[in-house]
Amino acid sequence: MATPCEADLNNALAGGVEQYFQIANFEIHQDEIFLENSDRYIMLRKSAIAAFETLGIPSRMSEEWKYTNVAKALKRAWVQFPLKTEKLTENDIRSCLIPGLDAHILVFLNGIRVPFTESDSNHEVVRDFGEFISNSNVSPMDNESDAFDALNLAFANDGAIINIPDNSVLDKPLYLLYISSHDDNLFVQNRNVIDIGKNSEATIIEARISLSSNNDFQVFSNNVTEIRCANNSNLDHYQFQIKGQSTTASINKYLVKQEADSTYTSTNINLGGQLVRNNVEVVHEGEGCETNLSGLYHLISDQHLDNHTLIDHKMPNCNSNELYIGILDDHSTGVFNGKVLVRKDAQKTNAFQSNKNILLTDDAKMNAKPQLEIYADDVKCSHGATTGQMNQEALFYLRSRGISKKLAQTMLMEAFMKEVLDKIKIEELKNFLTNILELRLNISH
Amino acid sequence: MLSINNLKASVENKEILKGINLEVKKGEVHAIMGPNGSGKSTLASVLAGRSEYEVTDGTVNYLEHNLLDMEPEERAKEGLFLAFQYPVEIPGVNTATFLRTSLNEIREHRGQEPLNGADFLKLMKNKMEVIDIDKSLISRSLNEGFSGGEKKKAEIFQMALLEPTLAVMDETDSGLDIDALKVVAAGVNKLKTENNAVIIITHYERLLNYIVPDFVHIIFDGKIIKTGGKELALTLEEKGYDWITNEHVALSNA
Repeated sequence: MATPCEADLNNALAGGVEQYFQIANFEIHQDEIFLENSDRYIMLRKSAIAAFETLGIPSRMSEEWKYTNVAKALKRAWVQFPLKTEKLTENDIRSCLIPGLDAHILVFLNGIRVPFTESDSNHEVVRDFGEFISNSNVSPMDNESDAFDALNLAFANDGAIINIPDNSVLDKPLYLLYISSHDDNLFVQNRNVIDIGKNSEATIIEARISLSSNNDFQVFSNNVTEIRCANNSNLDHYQFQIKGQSTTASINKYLVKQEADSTYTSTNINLGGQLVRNNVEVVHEGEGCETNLSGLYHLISDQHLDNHTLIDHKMPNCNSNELYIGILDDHSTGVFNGKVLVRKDAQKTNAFQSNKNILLTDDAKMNAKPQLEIYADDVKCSHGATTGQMNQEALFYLRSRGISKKLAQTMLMEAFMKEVLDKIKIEELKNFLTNILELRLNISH
Repeated sequence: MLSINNLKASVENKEILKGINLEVKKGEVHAIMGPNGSGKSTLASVLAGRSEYEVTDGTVNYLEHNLLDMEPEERAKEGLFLAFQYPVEIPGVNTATFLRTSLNEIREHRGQEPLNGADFLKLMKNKMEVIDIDKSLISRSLNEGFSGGEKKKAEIFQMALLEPTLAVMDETDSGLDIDALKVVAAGVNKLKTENNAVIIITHYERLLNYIVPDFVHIIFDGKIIKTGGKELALTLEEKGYDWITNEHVALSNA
């Protein structure tokens, strides 16, 4: 039986404004839901609930959600806080590790942190979630907020809080492993915070892997990650999602604040999930920032992926580079919406954006929407979006050398994807993802 | 080896080949010459199996196979090689990887074991002694950023590696400077044996100063209108295409 707060969530997700969260119910159940009880904590949660109540689930009438029908994906009876916890064996977890990669490991199962013998759970960079929310700089939510961000702040109950002190280099990559495994419809929300101190460097790999095989149920995860890159810091941030083509859906929001001379590099590889929305919002708070966003996707069946990026060039002398490439098979659909905002003071900005897609079938569909808004006059900006079929000339060339059509297609798809795969600096990760991709390309056509 | 009979082919409903007849036996070098738009390259494309061309009539028999029924890769596996007029650049596909894949697909078809990396490198080194090609090209993406001459040399290098039974060279000489032309010609001459054959498709007689053909065919308006020995190329050099095409038009109108 659903607990009262689950009923509230389902009402909220189901539509009608009158059914949204009742503050009264929230107060009654707050002890069940939240780990901490500080005034600030409760104030933040309440503001988020109020904001969500006003905003509601975005429909396709909303410009930002024109091509992604999230309301439809949410039409299930969700369990928010599973009473019985799935058990994962150490071997289950090991099957989700990257072979040969020496890393700090944090494991989350259905949104809840779980122990793992190889985790450095006491690692100094990781702080307690509840403590974080109580002391966080998160602004109280208002009606301008994003509904899913508000929903996340209202109910998130765990996450990775990473704090790299000033003048330090994280000795090995941090592997954040989010596993979903379930026999129920779960609604999972994590709120992560990554804070890279001045002159510091870190590599973080975020993996979303589904171990579920029961297609009757889904895990919908709505995640927010707040990232701050302090002066002269460098964060290499990889995210990949594999498996769960029919058993997971997710909305992943990354709010990135870059201070002067910092570099933020994000590489997103998306192969899994039935519906995935990635929102990356980067703002330059100081001069000399560099932002590199790359994405790679291969979609099959009825998968839907929506990559939304916003780079807010507020300061002069900053660079941004975006490259999103993907292959869409079957009746999959994709969205790329890349907004680059160059504000009046952001002189000497270099901003480049490219989105390239190959459609393998007549039913696959890509909606590409580059948006450049430029208010400064001394800038270099460019964008390009291409969507087409596989290069038939190249295919014929390879076939005319005795290479079968299927193998030639695979070679061309791998070559197309290489541009992003080559950006992966961690050899073990690159090999791991390349192998998965090759296998997938061979099976799917 | 190759027997083309009354071959007709169209592209976008426009008939380009209007009844080609050609016999090629092993050990022979055939040159097919003709002015622009006469159907030379279409013939090469149809032989290699390019799908934009629709064969509307005729037969092509190659080593006891109905060539027109075969996929492009099957033709290649049976030893047919097309040296492209415009080799396509394929970024992201490493040249060496491509060559090894191609060679091993063909070897598999011949019932040979695939070559391992070391043996493949050894073979490439040998072939590089036959064809004068810049070693660094092999480690780059296929044809990407190659100059016109490098692309053509790379085609001949592929030919040396794959050892085709029938090579069709589609205007390999166009746009080549004299040094590159000599490399290409020397390569073809070295690869020539009494068991294989070459069809050289060209607009210019220049290449034929270096590769001596057994037969020269002149193609015009989708048909072979004259066949002769190597001296036909010399006559063509002196008198130009007008000589033969005017004669042909006069005959057709008579």
